[in-house]
Amino acid sequence: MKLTRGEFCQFNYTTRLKLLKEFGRNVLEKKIKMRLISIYRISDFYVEVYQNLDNQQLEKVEPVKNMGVLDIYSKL
Amino acid sequence: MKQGNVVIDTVDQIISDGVKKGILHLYTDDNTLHGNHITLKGKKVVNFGSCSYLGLEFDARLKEASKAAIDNYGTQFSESRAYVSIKLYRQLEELFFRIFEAPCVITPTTTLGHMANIPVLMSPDDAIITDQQVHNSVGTAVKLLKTSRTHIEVLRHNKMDLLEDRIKLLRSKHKKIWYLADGIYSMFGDTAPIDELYELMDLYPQLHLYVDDAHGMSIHGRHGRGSVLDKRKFHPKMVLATSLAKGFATGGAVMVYPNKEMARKVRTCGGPLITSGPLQPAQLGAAVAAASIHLTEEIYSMQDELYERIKFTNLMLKKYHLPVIAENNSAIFFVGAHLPKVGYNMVRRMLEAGYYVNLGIFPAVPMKNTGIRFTITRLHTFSQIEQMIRTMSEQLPKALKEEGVSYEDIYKAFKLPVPEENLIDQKVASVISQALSLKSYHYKSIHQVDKKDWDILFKGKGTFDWDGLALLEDSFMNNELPENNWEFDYIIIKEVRTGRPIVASFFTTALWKDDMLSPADISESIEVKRIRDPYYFTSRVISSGSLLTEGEHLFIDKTSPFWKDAMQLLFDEINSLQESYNANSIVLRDFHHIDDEFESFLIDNGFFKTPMPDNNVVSDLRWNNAEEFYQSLSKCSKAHFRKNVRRYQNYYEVGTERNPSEIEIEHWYSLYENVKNKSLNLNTFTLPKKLFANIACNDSWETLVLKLTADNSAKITVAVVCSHIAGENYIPMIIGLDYTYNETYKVYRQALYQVMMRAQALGKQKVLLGFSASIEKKKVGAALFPTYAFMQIKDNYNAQTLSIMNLATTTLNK
Repeated sequence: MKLTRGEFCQFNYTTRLKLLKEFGRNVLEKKIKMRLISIYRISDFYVEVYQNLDNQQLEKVEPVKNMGVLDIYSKL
Repeated sequence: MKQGNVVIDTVDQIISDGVKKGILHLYTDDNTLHGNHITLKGKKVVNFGSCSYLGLEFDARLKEASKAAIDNYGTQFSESRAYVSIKLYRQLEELFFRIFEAPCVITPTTTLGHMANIPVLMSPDDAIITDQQVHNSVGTAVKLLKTSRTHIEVLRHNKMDLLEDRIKLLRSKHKKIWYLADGIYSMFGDTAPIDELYELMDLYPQLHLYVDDAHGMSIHGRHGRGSVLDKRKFHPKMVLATSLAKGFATGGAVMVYPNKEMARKVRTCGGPLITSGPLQPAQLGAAVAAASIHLTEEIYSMQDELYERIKFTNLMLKKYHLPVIAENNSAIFFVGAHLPKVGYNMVRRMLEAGYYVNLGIFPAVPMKNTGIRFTITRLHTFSQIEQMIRTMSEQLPKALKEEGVSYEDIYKAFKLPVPEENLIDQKVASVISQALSLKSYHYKSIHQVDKKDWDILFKGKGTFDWDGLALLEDSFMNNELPENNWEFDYIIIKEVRTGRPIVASFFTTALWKDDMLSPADISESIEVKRIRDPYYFTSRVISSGSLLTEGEHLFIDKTSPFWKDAMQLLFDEINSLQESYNANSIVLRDFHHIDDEFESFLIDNGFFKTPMPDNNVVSDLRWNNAEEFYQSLSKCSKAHFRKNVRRYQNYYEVGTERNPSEIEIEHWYSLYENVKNKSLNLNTFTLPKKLFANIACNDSWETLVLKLTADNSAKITVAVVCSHIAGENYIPMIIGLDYTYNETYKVYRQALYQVMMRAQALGKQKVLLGFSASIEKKKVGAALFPTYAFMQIKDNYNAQTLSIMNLATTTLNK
């Protein structure tokens, strides 16, 4: 199932995360301070997920624009 | 023919076929149900047929409340609400008042709610306009008004411009004009144009709105009050009916009113609220719990979850290029399949693949608009939705190929533009395989068809041998009036290897009156409208045979293994004709004996069976003279004969006439018009005069003329009977009478008798006396033979309107 970035962004954060879990692949997960940062790959793009571990709120579920970011995360 | 039974019989056929095919009237195997899986015929499937859009039926709070209500009040409280209701009702009413901010009445079901509302709120002086696709339960309640002769009509689906026209026409005669619609239509999931309706209600004081928002409840609006009230205030001229058996998840219904007085009146006088049982404790308990949830913020997150799934479903349907009929924001989706056989095939395939979807079929939709209907709930995962749609996209081409239907056929059946990728002829594969064994021949005139070949197939079967058709073509072309100009098409499908015909027929395309088979009083009221608009309620019909032929119009060689393929080729040809002639209906007619296999085959291809008027046939002509004929009659018929026929015989001179003068033709035609205008039981257009002149000069026909010498006056022609005489049978097709003498000299009965004598004199085997006047025809020895037709209607708006007219006298001539 192929989703474009634009199609992915039609959905709210909760749905985006569900789509990532059901159709995507978790490629990286790191706990930084009180945030869980995850990177998923779905279709042909990557998505950054920031979840606040205090209140479990999703702070960000956005496609990665700059692929250099992935290098940064992997070195953390 | 009884119009009401036709609908029931057709529904019976369709549903029974679905049951036989194992896709309708199913039972789950589960002892318990959780989530969105059910087990059918031993197979666990994902259920995409549920209307419980929020999945609340499994919510622990509703279940506990339901159980508690049983513990507290028992399994039922068996008293009419006119007497006593349990306390839970009051609680629930208060909660609904908070949800809707308007007075409400709770009813056991939406159907009973409509039956309570409509007779109480709508008076005989009102006009009622129902949307063509309004839910059947609303239509059922409207039928209750038939005895009060309320003005009822059907409006084409969602046509607000037509509604406004009707309002302007009706407002001077009716204080209130009710428009009945659904908030969300239950088959295609599209919505009523509520904003426009509100504007119309503001503009026209007479317009009131009655809307069934069953599929909108819970999933839209503040406190889940529905799609109609989503972001809108309650209009003071609106009544809202909504269901608690879908998104609300408890069963029951609630009716909502603009003021307390209206609510009070329905609560007090509504039939089901007096005589039907109430909602029982278990449902009431669950409903109180559900209503409480609706009054919290939690309902909005549930709505959001559902919206996201609806959005995702729309996206997936686009991605997988499925022919969705109406893109919308409801949780109901309809993927077109065109014909019932494709619908059955797909539902079966989806079941085998692990998904249960609904079959959208007649009577919920027109026969040629069959499809797969599915619903999305909050319980579906995104994977389940994607996989189901992907499976559907994989299976649909296979089903189409198997059934010989293309994507283009689907889009055309639903009057949608065909996407470019579907313009490639997907039928090519099946056509090629058919072409290797079969070839279709299409002619536009009988003069192009070899006479010998045609008469081998059709001589003796009716009036449509080669000569008979040549006469028809000459009579029904190049006339002034459009109804007297027919298109003729001759189609023969032959086996390539042997050249043998497998299927053959001729078709005429002509303007028919849509009320042709309706009761005479319906036709009478429509004829009043036709004084101003002669083509009111008419449409073009492609019929096997013609309005002037009777008999087995369709030749099929069922010994050939290719007969079904040949019929498919015939359907392809007829469908092309339907496009080019812009015909609304296709009729295959005059079947006397139909085997189950053939009947099933026609239904699968989108035809429904309809009885035609019974055919009167005299099969026994073994007597040799008048006395022997008399002796062959029953005791009653003999008495009738002596009193009504023999007594007047000597007043008549009977003979056949050829080459009549123009004056004679004029007179014969006027006699025919007498008969035509007197009887509306089979309401057709008047035949052209040219036909009578043609018949009089044709060797395959004769005109029997009865002249009367009455009261020593000169002989006058009082009856003519034009009959087809080629072949084994004597077939009277047209009769003309002078009714001035009918009472005194029993002209019609004499004519019938003389027809019998003439048939015997010519050595015929049978007399085919056609439809109508069965009682009279029985007296000359006729027996009734049931006759059937199979029809396919593209746009059933007129048929629906006639159905309403059948039930409630309209006031067209007001």
